[in-house]
This record gives sequence, structure tokens and C-alpha cells, in this order.
Amino acid sequence: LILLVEDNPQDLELALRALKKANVSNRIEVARDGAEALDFIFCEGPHAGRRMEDGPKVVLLDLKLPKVDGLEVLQRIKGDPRTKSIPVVVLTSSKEQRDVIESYNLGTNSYVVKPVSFDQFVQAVQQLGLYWLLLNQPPTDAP
Amino acid sequence: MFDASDVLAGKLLVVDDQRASVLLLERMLRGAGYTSVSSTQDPHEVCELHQKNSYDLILLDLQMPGMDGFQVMDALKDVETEDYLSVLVLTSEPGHKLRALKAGAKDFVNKPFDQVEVLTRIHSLLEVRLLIRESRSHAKALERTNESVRAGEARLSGIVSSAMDAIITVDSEQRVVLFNAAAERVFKCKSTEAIGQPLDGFIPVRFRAAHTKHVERFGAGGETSRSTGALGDLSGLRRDGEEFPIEASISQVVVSGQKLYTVILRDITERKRAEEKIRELNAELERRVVERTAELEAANKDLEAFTYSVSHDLRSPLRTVDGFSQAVLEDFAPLLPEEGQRQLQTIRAGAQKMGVLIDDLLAFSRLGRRLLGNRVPVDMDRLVRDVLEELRNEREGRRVEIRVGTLTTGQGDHALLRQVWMNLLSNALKYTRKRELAVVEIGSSADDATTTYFVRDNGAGFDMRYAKKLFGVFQRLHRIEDFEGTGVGLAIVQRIVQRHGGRAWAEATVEGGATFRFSLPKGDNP
Repeated sequence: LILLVEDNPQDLELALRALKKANVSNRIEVARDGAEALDFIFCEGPHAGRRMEDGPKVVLLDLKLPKVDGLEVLQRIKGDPRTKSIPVVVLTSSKEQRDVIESYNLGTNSYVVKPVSFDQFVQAVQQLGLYWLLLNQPPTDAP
Repeated sequence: MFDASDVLAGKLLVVDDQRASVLLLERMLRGAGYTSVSSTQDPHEVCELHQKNSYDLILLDLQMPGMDGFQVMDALKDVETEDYLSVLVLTSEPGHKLRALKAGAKDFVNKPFDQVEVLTRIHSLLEVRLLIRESRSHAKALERTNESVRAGEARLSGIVSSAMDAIITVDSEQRVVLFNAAAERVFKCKSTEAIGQPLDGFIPVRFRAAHTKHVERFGAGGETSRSTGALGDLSGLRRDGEEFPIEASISQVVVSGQKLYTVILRDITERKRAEEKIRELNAELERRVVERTAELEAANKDLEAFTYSVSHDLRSPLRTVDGFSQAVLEDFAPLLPEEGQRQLQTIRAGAQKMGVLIDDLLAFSRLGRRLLGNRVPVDMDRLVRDVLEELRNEREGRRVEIRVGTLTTGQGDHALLRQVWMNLLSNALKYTRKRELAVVEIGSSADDATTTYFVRDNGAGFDMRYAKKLFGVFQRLHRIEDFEGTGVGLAIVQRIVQRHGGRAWAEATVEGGATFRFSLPKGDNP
């Protein structure tokens, strides 16, 4: 299960397309803002019935999000013992130094600047998806 | 004072026409110890001899043929310079004694004379003579001293009256005894009105007690002068009631057992006003600096927010344009005519170009906000070789000759200087792309204060008429079909170099290659 947190519908569509093209066959859950993402990860609100153990194996996180921004989501994930081992890949438009530094300080596992070129975007997503899913996913959960 | 030997050294002249008398007197005088005794028997010689020798005492016989003693005395009066006729007359006629004294003789001796009497009278007269001489020289010395004292007083009073500072002397009762012209001006009070008045009249009421105490304490202490700064800010009081700030010093001196205090003071109204003005201006300046700093900080924040949002929001639609064009090409290529596919590719290229523009613009803007890092010695030779290595792809499949000359170590921010070399060297490689053999030369030269680095190429060059535009943001001197680029690279070079306190410039000819130079100040460690 991959959690993709993205508010921009075009970027979302492109990301999903890229993941599909990368032959990532995992189930992909989409959250459209920070609050939704947190509900999903911590099994709250509409996801209250789910078990924490069935949470996402990877979180692809945009930084600029409505309601709760990406950095705060990252902080909550990395600050909680139950979720801190979930790999988080920050996937964002921002090349700003302070965003990069802040993300790494908060414990992101990787930081990817979304390129304008769709080819590069697909490449980046493919590498990310494969890398995290291959390396971090327990064999029993393999699709 | 004088002693016996001075008396015996007195110069004596014996005048007598009788040779026997002369000899007798001479013998007697020499026998008594007198060392300077001369004589004459010719009364006509006396004046001339006295003029020549200035005798201290003349022993004069009254009865002489041709010219008697009275005539000699009359003549002597005319030549006597010291206004004292030292003459002892010798006479055997009692009637002549009184006449002789009236004529100016100082004493007389009867002939024939008693030795002891004569010697005693001579001794006395010589003593008187010496005393008179001494008292006259004392008087002269005194006169000279008085004159110099008077001159000193005149000088001092000249100084006091022409002094710029007010000078007021008061006695031990603190009554004014001296009030100079400057004091008259400062206090608007004539000295004739001030003399004899208590000093208090020139001090505002609230300061009087403190001032009196201060002067008393000062008087009791051993100091001879002191500035009154210890009292804090002082004020004077003009006759018309106006108070004004003063600066003063006080000194004391005892004259004829009476203690006098002299206060020297100046009106510092103007200075205080100037100081106040300076304080106000400083405060104003401070306030403006704070305001401007706040404005700058706000502007900086705005700019940061702006770039942040550009960074995020402007790129996102471009991704959409590019991404969906790509998706169309991938999913519907068979349905599109070739021209349609080419046009979609053009759309993609445009979007990507805009992405690069945004990135470059942001990089340039970040440079403006970025603080200059530590200035450290930078090994330029190594830096240039690193950058050339990184640009290896640019040289692939081309004939490129690179000559690296001497590169002096520079002072600066390592990462920023790397950017400078990166931009200059990639330009050199880019604009020589159409040369069969590209030649790029790199080197440096130095003078006392700066080091100048250069990159020379044999590439496309440019027209010097547009040299001014070269370092402007988004300024390009070549067509995009010939050489790609956004026109930010040299603007970044210039900004970095300027922030290091240096400058960047270039010379070139069209198709004749270009030389780019930048200078850096040498900094503290040469």
C-alpha cells in the first residue's frame, strides 16, 4: 500500500500515471490534503476502523498542502514510534534550501524535486517506487 | 654693604699749593692704609683730574694763589656727574668754614691739623660717599624692578581684558574685585557695577548654596586650581535675569595675606545647542536606520514569500502542460498526424524552457538574499580543474584545447566562486562549439590590491556595442537557435563578484572570441 499525498489534481493524475508506467502494482491510497493524510496514517476519522499495522508501506508526500502542510505531516509521522519507520519521500516543486534542510531535519528518507519535464518526473517516481518497495517491503506482503 | 677695605680703596686727591702740606697729607694717608692717594699743587688741574678719575674724596686747601678753593668747588659743581660734591676743605681761617660749607664742602679741617681728627673725618666722608653710591644703585635696581612689574601688570591686564573667557576675581568674602570685558559681555553687566558686589548675584538662586560650599571647600583644600565640572551642569545668571549654561574653572592665590579666587568661565549656550542638535540628529538617524531595516526586512520577507510561491506554484502548471502533452503523445500518437505531433513537441519544449527560466531566475534571486559565506583562501587552480572535469560532457566529441595558466589563490566564498567559474567556463565551451578547434585560456594577474582572473575563448564573441547589456539579467546577445541559454549566467557572475567587492567585465569581437575577466580584492591574508 502506497499513500500518495497530493492536492493538485493534474500532478496527482501524472503521478498515478507515472507509478502505473513504472509497473508499481501496489494499491495506491490518495490523500488530497494534510489532514486526510494524517487521518489515514493514524487510523482516525473515516479510517478509525483500520488497524495501524495495515498502514502504508511508503508515503509520497507533497509539501504544499491545504489544511495541514507537508512538513507537519512529516513531523507527525516521524515523531510517532508507531509510524516513524514508514519511509517518507518528499515529492515537491520546491527547490528552496530551507525546505530541503527542514525535510531532512524532520527525518524524510528522500527528497525529490518534481521536474517540469514529465519524462524526468516519471523516471523519478519509477526510481522511488522501485527503490522503496523493493528494499523495504517484507517478502510476505509482496504482490 | 661695604667693609674697611672698600673705604681704604677709596680714591683720594690732595689739593694744596704748599708742597710740604701735600707730602705730609700723602704720607699720613698712606700710613693709615689708603691705597689710592694722588695729589696736585695746581688748582687749575683739579677739574680735569676729577673728570678723568672720579675721586671719592677731594681734600682741598682754600688758600691758593691764582684760583682759591671756592673757585675750585664752583668749577667742580659743573663737572660733577653724581650730583654729590665730596670735598673736605682745609683751612686756617675760622671765618671761611661756614662759607665753605655753604659752597658745597661736606666738612672741614683746621690747619694745622690734628692727625686723628683728619683721618676720622676722611674715613667718615668716604663711608658716606660709599653709602650714597650704594643707595643710588639700590634705587636704580628698584626702579628697574618697578618698571618690569608695571610692564608685567600691563601685559596681564591686556590679556585679562582681551580674553574671550569671562574672568572674575573675588576676595575671601566672595565679593567681586575684578570683572573683565568678556565678563561684562557674558553677564551684561558693567564692571563698575560688578566690582564690590557679591558673586552670588551672577549665579541662579538654586545653585548659590552649592556654589558657596564648593568655593569654601576648594579654599580649604590645597589645590590651586580645579574645573567645576564636579558640580555637574552649571548655570550663570545675566543681569537681565536670563540663565545660561557655563563651563568654569576656579583658582586661588594668596596676595598680601588675602585669599583671592579667580573664576574663568565661558558661556556654552551655543555648544549645548549644537550638542543637542547632534543628539537629535543621531536619534533621528537611529530611528531611520531602524525604520529602513524593518522595511528591508519586510521587503526581504515579501521577496522570499514571492520566490517560494513562484517555486511551487509556477512550476506546477508547467508540469501539467508538459505531462499531458507527453501523455497525449504516448496514448494517442497513432491518431495524430505528424504535424500535430511536432506541435505537441513544441509545446513541451516551451514548457520546459519556461521551467529552466524559472529555475535560473530563482537561483539569481536566491543569490541576492544569500549571505556571503566565510571568506577563505580558495585554490583557484584546483577549483578550475574541478569545474572543467564537471563540464567534460560539453567537450565530448569536440576538439578542445584548454590552457590553464597561473591561477593565484583567491579570497572568497568557495561555493559562489565555483559558480562563477562554472558559468564562465561553460559559456566558453558553449560559444566555441562551432569552432573546429576550440581554444580556451584561463589565467590570472595581480596588482597590489586585486587579483584579476580571465577566461579567453576563440568562439563567437560579440559586438562591443552591446557590452553593457552583457551582464544584465535575461540579456542575450545571440539567437536561441545558435546558442541556447536564458541570459542569467553572466548576471550571476557579476552579482557574485560584486558581492565580493570586485567587478566583472569583458572584451570581444564578433566571431573573434571573447575574454571575460573578474577581479577580487586580495583581502587580509595575501
